[in-house]
Amino acid sequence: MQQVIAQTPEDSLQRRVRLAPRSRWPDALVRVFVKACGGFVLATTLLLIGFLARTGLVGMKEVGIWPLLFGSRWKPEDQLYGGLPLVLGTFVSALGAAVIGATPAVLAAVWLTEFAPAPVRSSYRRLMEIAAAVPSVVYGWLALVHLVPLIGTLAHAIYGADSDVGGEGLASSAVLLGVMIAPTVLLLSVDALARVPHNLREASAALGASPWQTAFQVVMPHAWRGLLVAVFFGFARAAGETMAVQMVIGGARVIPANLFRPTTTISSQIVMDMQNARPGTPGNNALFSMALILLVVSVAVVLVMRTLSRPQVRG
Amino acid sequence: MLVRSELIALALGLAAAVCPGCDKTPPSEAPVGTASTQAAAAPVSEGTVRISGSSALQPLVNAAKEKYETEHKGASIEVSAGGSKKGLVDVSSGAVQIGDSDIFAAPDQKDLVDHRVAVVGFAAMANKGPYNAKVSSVGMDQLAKVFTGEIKNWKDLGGGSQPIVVINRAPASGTRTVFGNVVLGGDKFVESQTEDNSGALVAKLKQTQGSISYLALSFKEDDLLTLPIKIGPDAIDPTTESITQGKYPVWSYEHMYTKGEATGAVKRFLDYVLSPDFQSTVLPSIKGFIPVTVMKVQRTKD
Repeated sequence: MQQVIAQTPEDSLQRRVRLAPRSRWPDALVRVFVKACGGFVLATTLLLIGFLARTGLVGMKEVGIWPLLFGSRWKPEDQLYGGLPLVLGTFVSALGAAVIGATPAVLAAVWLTEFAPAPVRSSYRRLMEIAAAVPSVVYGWLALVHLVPLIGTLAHAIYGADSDVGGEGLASSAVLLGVMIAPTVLLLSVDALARVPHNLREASAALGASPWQTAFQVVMPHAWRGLLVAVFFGFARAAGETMAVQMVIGGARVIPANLFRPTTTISSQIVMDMQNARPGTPGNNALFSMALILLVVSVAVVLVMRTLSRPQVRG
Repeated sequence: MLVRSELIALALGLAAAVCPGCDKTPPSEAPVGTASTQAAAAPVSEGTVRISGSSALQPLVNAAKEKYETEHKGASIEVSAGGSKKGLVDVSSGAVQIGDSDIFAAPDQKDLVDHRVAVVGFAAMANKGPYNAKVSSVGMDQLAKVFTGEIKNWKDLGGGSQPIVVINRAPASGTRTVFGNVVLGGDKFVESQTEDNSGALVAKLKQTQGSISYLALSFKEDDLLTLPIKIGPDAIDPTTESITQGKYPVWSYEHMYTKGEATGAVKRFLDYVLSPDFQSTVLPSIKGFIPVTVMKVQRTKD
């Protein structure tokens, strides 16, 4: 779509008309159709942002951006719209996921591209592609049945049998999200590492470096932008994940005392509250504001990613 | 020149499409709600009745739907549960023809007509374990303190030492509203783990040691500890008898609200649910439901 618009100055337009004078009907039809499709996709995106902003900005005006980000209590029934528990829940579980899931994923990618034998490499990749395609509700359900009780036992082992802790909370959601984003981060990292020119590895070996030294001191530094993009992508996906997180986070709208107490995230609170939100009420507007904040954060992450990946594409 | 005219048309189309996103419609016309309402209120055939709302009432509506659809060929009853408050919102917006609710409609919703189809009791239910085997009943004030978070351990209720884990229903829940009004005097629940439907809550209660919540009696089962309430010297079990005689206080009417008086297919279905045949033969066979007619006490608000 962008390219179509970019090529419309008068000269290129005339050149095209010269190349295909009096085009046949089907040709023109196809062109209109393809352009309409391009316009449709763009319009959908703009409409989405427009609708979200229209209601979200009303909410921000009514409640104020400061309470929406830093207020400590979210209870729409009592007109309390403090978004900090939601923001904190989203941020901490996504950050935890990046640490728990993305770190091993990147290292596994290094092993896979630099050390694993070729047959292992391709079948491992196949397996990760399958794992990346598993629907999130499946991950969430498995976590609810198997992970949450396990984390609950761990919590009681740490804080004592009589303490008020359990499996629902940030610990569970961080581990779950880590497992969920790992395949995607791994696949993106493998691609980034594969883009490192092979002669760098040969030069390194010729200088007498061991394979480990080559991997960690030549290949990884060269691919760092791509690896960071992979991690950021994982972070963005973890921050936006809804279904699976809602199943294990507990759903309490407070800042938790520790990682083993129930809390909530922006996306899961939207799911929780939207059925109760009457259009036009402050509660509904505030909910849209939180959705808008989530969108802005995601867009920011995407922009960071683009800035990071641009020089690499050129080189 | 074809290309240019195409582009102009495209730009115009785009501008027209984006415009609703930037015009000056007041916020009360919030787009998502309006859009979903319009989608749901699409024309329906004569025999179709759309219902949404309370999950506590759903077992009864499903039973009625089955019988009604076999007896009336061509009739179609569509039921979805999403909480009592959603039912009330949906019926006033016109998205459904009947809104199921455990609670009375707000006083400002004057256009809604109430049809009381049953009575349902609610009780505190808990995970069963050795730590609470000796807890035979709980006083109303103690129960309130459990759910506001003041009492934190089963030993304060006469059981063994085990932290109490309060699990709440979502704020849209009628069960939460009724239990809160009768036991806590309003929605004063401690902020805690939240489940958004009764079925998932039952599973969670069985899984979590020390947990306690509140459920309609239609969800009562032997694997859960259903707590009798101590009133004066007596421990009152939540049973059909104690509720109809007014001894057990935590109950509510199950309402089916219509917008204005019911007509056509909606009226025919409501007449069936309220018919003596359904009320005295089918309804008592569904676990947890009590016919309105046998109640010896009445209420006009929650």
